[in-house]
Amino acid sequence: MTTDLDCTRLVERLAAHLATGSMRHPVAAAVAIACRGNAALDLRDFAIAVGVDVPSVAACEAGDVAFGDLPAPLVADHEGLDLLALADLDAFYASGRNA
Amino acid sequence: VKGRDREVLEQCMERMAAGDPAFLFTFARHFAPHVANVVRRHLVEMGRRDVLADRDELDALVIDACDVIYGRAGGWQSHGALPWTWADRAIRSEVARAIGHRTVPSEADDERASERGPECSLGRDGIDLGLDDFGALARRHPVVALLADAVARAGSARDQRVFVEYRLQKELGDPSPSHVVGREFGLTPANVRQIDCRMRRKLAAIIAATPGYADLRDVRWIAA
Repeated sequence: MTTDLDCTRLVERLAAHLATGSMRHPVAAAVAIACRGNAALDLRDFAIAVGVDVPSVAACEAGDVAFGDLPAPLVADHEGLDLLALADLDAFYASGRNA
Repeated sequence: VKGRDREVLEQCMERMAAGDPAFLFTFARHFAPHVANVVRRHLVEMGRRDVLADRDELDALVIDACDVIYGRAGGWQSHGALPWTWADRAIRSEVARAIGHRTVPSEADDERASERGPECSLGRDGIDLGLDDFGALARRHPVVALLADAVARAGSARDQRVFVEYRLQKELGDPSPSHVVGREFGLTPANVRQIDCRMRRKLAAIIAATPGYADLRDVRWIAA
């Protein structure tokens, strides 16, 4: 059973939570986490599955990688996520950081 | 939930218990319809059918409910109830917190109240408090029915409900039962714990003084 629940909102919610810390790229981190959730794999298995090394995946999920620099294979399965809307949200957070 | 879905569910709960947020997405993608059913039922019971018609707000509540399950995943046991059933009270509490309780009774409620009578208590004849699990158990198991009977003698209707809800939440592994029950009844967590303590003291005295309740002397709820 799968759902049509709007997972973009869940990403927004997680990004807002991550942004309360000192994370540099909370939206990118939340997207990376959501994509791994789509695959239902732990970090190591996901890294192997998408062909990205484990430290790079971990860095993405830790918010060290900008939205536009997320490795393409990592976000290939972004089903249920509105990446354009999330890019806008990322820009919003970035403008807040730069203000 | 069977077969592959069951495997995914157990994997989600295990990973969420370990604090992996990716599996909150896995859980939401696979099991949100079940969670949504629980949220809808609570909304109907709270008289908030208006929220049912608002897709955005309903989605937000379902996400809240998934988050409730995520936060409590460590207490879930795979041989027990399904997570959305296990966390039913906590979900209800979260829904109530998010939308507020209805304060104006509907005509349907008035009709139901007149059918039910003016007072709710935990006695054998009036066990329907919305405490469905406890009520169902009491109908099936004589010892639980005996406990319900004793509880009905131990305090006000509200205190009985608070006590049973609090004890159920604790048994279900809720890490913060006094907060969950407190939100539902408009009490502070300290009040809830005081009521629980008071009820247990009264129950212990009633059970000790009543030979018919001898089977309850070793019940964990009383000793805890």
